[in-house]
Amino acid sequence: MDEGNTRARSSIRLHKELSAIWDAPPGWGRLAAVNHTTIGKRFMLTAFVFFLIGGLLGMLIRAQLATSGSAFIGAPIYNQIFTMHGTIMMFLFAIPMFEGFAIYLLPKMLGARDMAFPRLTAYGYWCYLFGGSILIVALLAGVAPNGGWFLYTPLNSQPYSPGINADIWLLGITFVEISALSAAIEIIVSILRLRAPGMSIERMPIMAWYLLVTAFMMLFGFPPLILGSILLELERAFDLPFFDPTRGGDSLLWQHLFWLFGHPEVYIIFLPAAGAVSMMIPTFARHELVGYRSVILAVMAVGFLSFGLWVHHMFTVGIPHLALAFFSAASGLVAIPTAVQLFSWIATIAQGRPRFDVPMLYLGGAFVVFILGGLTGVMLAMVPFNFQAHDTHFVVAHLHYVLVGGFVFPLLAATYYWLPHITGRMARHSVSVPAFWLLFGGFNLTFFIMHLTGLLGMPRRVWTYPEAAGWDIFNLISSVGSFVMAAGFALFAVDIVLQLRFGERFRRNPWRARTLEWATPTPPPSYAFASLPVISDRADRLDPDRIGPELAAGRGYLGAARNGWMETLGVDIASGEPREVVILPRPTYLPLFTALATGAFVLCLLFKAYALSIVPLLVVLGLFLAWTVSSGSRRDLEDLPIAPGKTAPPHWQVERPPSWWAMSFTLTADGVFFASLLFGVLFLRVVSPDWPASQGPVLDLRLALPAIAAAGLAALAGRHAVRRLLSGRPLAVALVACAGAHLAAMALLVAMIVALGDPTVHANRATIFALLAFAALHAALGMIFAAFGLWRERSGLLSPARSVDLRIGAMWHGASAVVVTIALLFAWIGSAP
Amino acid sequence: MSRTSFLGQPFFLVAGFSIWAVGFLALYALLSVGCAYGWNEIVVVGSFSLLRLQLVAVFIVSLAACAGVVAALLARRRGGGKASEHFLAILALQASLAALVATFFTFAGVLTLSICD
Ligand code: HEM
Ligand SMILES: [Cu+2]
Repeated sequence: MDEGNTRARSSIRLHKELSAIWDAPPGWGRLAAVNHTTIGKRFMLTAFVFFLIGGLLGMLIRAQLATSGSAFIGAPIYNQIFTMHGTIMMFLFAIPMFEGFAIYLLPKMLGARDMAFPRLTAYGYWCYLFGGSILIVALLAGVAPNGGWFLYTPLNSQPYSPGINADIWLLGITFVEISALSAAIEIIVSILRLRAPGMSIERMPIMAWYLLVTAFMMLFGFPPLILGSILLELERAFDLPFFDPTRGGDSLLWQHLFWLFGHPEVYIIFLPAAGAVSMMIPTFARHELVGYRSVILAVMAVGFLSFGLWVHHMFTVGIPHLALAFFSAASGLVAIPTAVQLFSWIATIAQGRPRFDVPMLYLGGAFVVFILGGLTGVMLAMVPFNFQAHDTHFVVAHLHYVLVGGFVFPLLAATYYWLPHITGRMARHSVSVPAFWLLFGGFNLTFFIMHLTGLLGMPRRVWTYPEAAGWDIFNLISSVGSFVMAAGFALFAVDIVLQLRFGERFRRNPWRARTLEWATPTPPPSYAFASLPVISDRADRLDPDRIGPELAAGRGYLGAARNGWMETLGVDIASGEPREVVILPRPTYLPLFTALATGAFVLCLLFKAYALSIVPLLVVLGLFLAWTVSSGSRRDLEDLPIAPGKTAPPHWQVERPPSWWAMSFTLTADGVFFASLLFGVLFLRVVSPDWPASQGPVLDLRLALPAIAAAGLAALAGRHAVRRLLSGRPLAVALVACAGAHLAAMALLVAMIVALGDPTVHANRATIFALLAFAALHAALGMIFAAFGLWRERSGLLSPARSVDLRIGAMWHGASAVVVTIALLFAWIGSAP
Repeated sequence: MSRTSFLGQPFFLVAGFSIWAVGFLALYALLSVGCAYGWNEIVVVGSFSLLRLQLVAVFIVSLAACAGVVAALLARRRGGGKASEHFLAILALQASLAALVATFFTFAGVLTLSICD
């Protein structure tokens, strides 16, 4: 009794101390929040709002298609509506929803206090909000994109879509994409490095594996789309003919870049939802996930295979049959690892003592719908069938079965499962069962019918059809179904509100789950765990009811407030042994301001104020540099106590802190972007019919070779500076040399761009222009990195023990040299007579 | 602190499938270039065109590389080490086996199908 009292008292004191450090200030201060619990909730709420808008547009589509010859909205509006429906659902609902889910839950599942880069999380959120808002405002203003969510060229090139509509898509989506890419890097680093001590890689919760693979897929999938968007925007704004077949461009290049992203995107949406299923099923089956390792294997296989089938969206564009065979085979193959996961879930239920509850009902619905979607997917992967069903409503039916079965229904289940964690209240479930049946029935009524209209030949993306086609009755049923489904969503929303208002409070772990996120108090405090647990078994075999109070009393790692620091632990990637204390940044308005400046830049581009756009661009750069001011230390610190008898250094004093990994993955994404550009250059050269063999510009080797030498020199000087720092010698000269060499490389590259002449005459010149500009950008950023290093050194923030800033810079200098060399090589090949 | 051996690196989890991905791109690129330059019309031996030979060569090299990764990981599977290393080793082995099968299944078309039409 006595002991219990002191424990309670000490946990309340600890709670007060930690709250004082971690909570964001009230009022306007909320805009400064960087905490993962807060930002995660904001992401999910915003995504839900976008889902409602997207759903509303879906209803409008169905209202228009209900009868033949309907005069309800008309073609121009219809085009905007179906484009925005697809765009919103894919970019503004599904991806951000999973990001919010990951940001909210991931640290809690891993036993950490926050994500690795809280300010980046906040920046990502604001970018998402502003980018999404641009699209919605455009919709309200009647200038929304109208060329389909895949924005095919040449329909969306300047001559055929002269308005601002396509620019809004390109710029708005790229803006949102920045947010997704930063989230991907952050998720990877957090999973690899920020876990509870003892959570070795084979003990991670299965969700962490799913999110890890998903984030890597984003790292490889988004750069091609960003590249495509930039190229198309360059074509639209400055007439560089990348996709214009009359000047050596090729529309198929756009399709390749889009689907290189577009297909993996579908799995980027599906995998996190499947991860959530793999977390929920064991709880309700009261049995750990059967085949933990096979599931990991399957998820990895899906991650790879889904990149090898982008052309199945382009089967009918005239690609050699042998290539179609590769993509068809890969498309069929991806069904196997997907089935492995399904069988693992079924086996878990079969081996356990399943308990029924509302989330299970929604999961049952998800299984049925997803399996049907998977079957039509295999049908569509077969080339001859695809030729018949291409661009009919059969495809619309298939894609909704997959997306709704693979994402929306699991998401609804997950909402019922995890909402109590967010609110601290249990649902009453009074209307959740009827809501489910409305949703399930309405969905199948809407979309099953579309298989039939599709097989009868009804094309997708048409705003109306003649009565003579005989599709009226089917379309009417389908539209009625969609209104039934809408009623289901309304009831679902009512159920959630009821839970928020009248749900019963509970202390901890209402579902008797065995994973770590249920060991936090509910609703969770901003610091998630008062102290960090030691994990000695697989993360789905834990006992949150026992661990929770222990941690709350401060009996784990980092169980005390220190220096007003926001601390969490960094661990070894494989073994999970503690390596360093990661000290996270305090709440700040910087992410908001940086996102606002980024938004201003995007708006300048949108309204073609290119000269003006330099201003916000410089502001963005300056603000990003301002982020770093508060980080680091001016003296070497002793190792810090992290638990009785254990110490660890602060993160800036270790060899590979989270920021080092972040730079590695940023360079990976940069490399993928560059590789996509090289692919584009080769593609146009080989495939485009109108490519002059001889009269292209000739690259001046007298400029190119010195540029390569300068870039190489910058890389060497950067490394030399690191060596001097490590051995305690002065390094300013080396860094100045590094910056100077970058400057020289940049000047030479710019001179080459000028010598190139008008890049709009032919795609040949336009691609060389793009290569040179990309290389020049790397040299320019290299200069900033060198100057940054110099400033850190002058401010006393560097020492042999605190060298990471400089080593990160050196990584960039090296990468920049590689980029300059390869870009010039390709430019030279491209320009050779 | 003991250092993990080269074959115990997490990188090996993705080695097999990376080979698959590189082989995939190589085949697709080679096919496009070959068809553009008419290498399918250059007969080398019997009914084998230059392009067919090149494609089959990429196919065999990819298979061999995948098989090589499988063999290296098989040889390493025995022996102690930490639980996480053991776990990663088994996972890497299974992944590279899956990649071997995927390589065969996705690329086998180069043996029989018509090339450029
Ligand atoms: C709320 C219920 C929904 C309804 C009633 C609905 C209805 C439709 C309809 C009728 C189309 C065909 C438009 C046309 O071809 O003219 C369509 C297209 C599409 N839907 Fe949905 N949908 C719903 C939910 C979703 C969800 C949840 C997603 C994704 C997560 C989604 C993604 C898409 C995409 C990507 C397209 C293709 C757009 C294009 O062709 O450019 N939909 N939807
Ligand atoms: Cu696909």
